[in-house]
Amino acid sequence: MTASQAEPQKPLNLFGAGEAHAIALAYERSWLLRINDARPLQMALALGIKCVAVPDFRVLLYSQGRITRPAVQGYLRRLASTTQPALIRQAQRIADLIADERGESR
Amino acid sequence: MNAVTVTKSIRLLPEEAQEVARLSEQLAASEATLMKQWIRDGLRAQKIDLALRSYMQRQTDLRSAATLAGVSYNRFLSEVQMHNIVILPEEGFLDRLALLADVLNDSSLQAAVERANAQETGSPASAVDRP
Repeated sequence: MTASQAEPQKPLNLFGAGEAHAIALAYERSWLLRINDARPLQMALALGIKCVAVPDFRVLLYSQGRITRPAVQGYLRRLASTTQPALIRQAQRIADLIADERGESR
Repeated sequence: MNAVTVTKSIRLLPEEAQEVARLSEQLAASEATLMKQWIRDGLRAQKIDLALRSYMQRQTDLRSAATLAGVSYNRFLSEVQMHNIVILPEEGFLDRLALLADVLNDSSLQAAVERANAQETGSPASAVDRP
């Protein structure tokens, strides 16, 4: 079953409808949750849900070889206008370390 | 009672002036009224933009940023949401990545997180088995 077809049995009455359903589904089905807002993320983590945010997800895609180094750099640059600079710097650092390890650094 | 006002003058390119005149006609409002409205809108947007930046850089919290922007807390919160602004705690970033690396058995990510942690604490990263 895909996430778009799934409905939680007990949706939360917190945050926006999308976040509330996503948290409830991830909780009920032990799914990995991709979420990008601090408050719902903290709530999900408190419920023991394994979470991934957008910068983490980009780094993960690069690490898994799904996207190239220029792609991850581009994604992180685009996220910079809406994401805390310290978080972007950390994500870039991890991507750089992975690139070093693979010999993809300039 | 009329409020005291001051005059500000700006210079426009001929095509910009023509466009103002055209809009003034289309909207049936004087050029002065329109320009005043645009300046007010621009000031409001600029203040919100500055407050959003300040909030993103964690120089202010939501409530102080709303005050800085000159809007209510709820209005500022909706601006943050509208701009898809992500304020995630960076302290948890490496932990989240380490968890992901573990869940997905991603040794490359795991090694990178360990190296980053080691650089932060100044201790050498432990060796990670490579597939």
